[in-house]
Amino acid sequence: MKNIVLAIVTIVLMLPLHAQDIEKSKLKVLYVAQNPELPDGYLFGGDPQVWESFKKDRPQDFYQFFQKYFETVTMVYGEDYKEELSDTHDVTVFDALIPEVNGQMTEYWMNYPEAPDYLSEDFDAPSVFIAGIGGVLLWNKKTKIDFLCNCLYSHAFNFDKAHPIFNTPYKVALTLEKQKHQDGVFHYYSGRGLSKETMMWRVQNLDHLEGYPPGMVSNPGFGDSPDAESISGGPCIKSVNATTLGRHGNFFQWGYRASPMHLAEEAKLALINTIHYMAQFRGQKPFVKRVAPHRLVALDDVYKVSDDGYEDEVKFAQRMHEYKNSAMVRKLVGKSNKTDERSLNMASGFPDRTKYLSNVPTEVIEMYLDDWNAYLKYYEDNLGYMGLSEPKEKYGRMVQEVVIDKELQSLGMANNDIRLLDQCISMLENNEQAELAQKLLERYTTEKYTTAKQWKKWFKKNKQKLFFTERGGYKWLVNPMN
Amino acid sequence: MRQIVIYILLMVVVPCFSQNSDDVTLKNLAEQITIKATSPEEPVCMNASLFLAKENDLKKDVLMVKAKVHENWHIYAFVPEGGFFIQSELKLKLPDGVEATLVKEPSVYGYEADPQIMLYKGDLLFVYELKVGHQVQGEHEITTTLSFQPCDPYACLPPNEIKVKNKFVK
Repeated sequence: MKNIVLAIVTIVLMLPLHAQDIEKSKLKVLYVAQNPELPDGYLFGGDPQVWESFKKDRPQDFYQFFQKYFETVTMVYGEDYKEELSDTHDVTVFDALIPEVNGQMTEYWMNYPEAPDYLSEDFDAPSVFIAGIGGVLLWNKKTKIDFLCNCLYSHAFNFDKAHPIFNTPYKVALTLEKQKHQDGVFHYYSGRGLSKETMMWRVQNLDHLEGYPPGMVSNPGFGDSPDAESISGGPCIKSVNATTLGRHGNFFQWGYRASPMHLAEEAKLALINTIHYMAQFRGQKPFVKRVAPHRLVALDDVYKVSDDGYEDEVKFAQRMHEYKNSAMVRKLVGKSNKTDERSLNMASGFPDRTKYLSNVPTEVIEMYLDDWNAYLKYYEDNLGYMGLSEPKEKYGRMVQEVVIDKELQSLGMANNDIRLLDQCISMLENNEQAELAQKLLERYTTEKYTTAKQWKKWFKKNKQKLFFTERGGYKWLVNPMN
Repeated sequence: MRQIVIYILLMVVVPCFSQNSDDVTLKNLAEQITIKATSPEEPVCMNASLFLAKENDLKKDVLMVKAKVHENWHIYAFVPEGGFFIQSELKLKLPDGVEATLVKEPSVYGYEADPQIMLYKGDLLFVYELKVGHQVQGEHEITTTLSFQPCDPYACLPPNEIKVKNKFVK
């Protein structure tokens, strides 16, 4: 009898945890859903028929999923969203376009006459943005969530297993599987030497191969300030450093498109953990705005000048030209197919290496001329001296580009090495190249002190709180949270 | 005999010259279309002009759509079904009785990240020949709309559309 009772107890304990057994969190979740009767709010590719088949179920899918894990879940359609709702809920999950801050509700995100504001300047509620809606709603806020590309597939890689979204309150198993890298990564400097395959974590069970619309990635350099963290990358047509899951202040980019019915079981828990994680960030708006690209961008250009990068371009041009040749021969015998018209219309031409030299200083070009591999080595050797140029007229407006800072180079100290500030202050104190020191201090901080004493006082007070950000403008900034 | 040879030559050579002179005329007309300068904030600009045959020594009335894509930017000329990106579209809203046939379009470029995708870059020229029915009288308007999503290597801007209206009188 005792054995029977023990067996029954054991079987019961081994049963999978059902929804009704999950201890629901008291966090209040607001889900801002796309009204299935309205246009999507922003265009995102994929097969429209596939999307339409799932669109009507999406709101309830998310809503019921969240209800399994949270006691209080409110769902509103995007057009009914008001910021006050986020004040009465712990975390808001945005999955739809919302009215502009002026109250106007447009059919879809449009840049004409200019991109609108969707969230007020004061908005500081913890928020999770699904797929590309973060890039849309936060566009004018210049956060690290920046809509680099709506081209994210179904997996994730380069993630930190110890991160809370994989552990708290639910332990995520993170089963890995070998997957091929997408072709796009190999066209970037960061793709050199990458193996064709890597271990990835499956986030969703459908992707573009089945016509499912893609997710969104943000630019490299996402985590280069203490108010932000890049949690994972993922397969897309951009570089291996693009961010798929990341937080900037009170905003979280969940770059994947799938609703719970198409999320892998492990990813469902990670999404729930993300909501839990974000609840702590109320009031913590981002304090770094994205104003510049990461310095790797400059390497991407000179990589295309080098033999390896150029070979890649030539192979691509040959491939395109072969499509054209095939189309031409089919046309000769009257057997054109429907894609041939496009191929016949393709511009032909051998790639030009020099178009990637536009930001290389003239004296460097004079030095190396057609020693094509020397440029990449030069930039690699001088990576620490990459900074923003003075504003200059280009492409019809004043721009700043990532260039080698020659004045910094003359000092031999990288701009992201905090000893640069110390050295410049010493130079000011000793009146050694004082003008250069002052210029570099102003260039790589946001301060405008005029004496060594003032600089020294500021540096001593803030040294432990200083951080260098490239996306934030190649500056040493004081962490206000520290 | 000589006359027959001359006649045959005229039948062959004149069309060639006509075609070439049409191309030259179209090129000259295209140069008359002004569009504003592009910038990273507005990387695509477009304008359209109507050139009536009788006023411009053309065989047919022509609508020319000229666009410019900012250096280092692109828009999508062709995206396979189910693809990631937003394919550009050029739509004409024509009055009743007017038909348009696209007779010239810009070259396209392959996209390294996905060779199935084609891009538009740089200067673009679309030429439509118009067939205006005899019943079309008075003042009318053609609306040309170019919709696109511009991208450079580091970001895609929100989708946009540019509309141009051209009036004509028959």
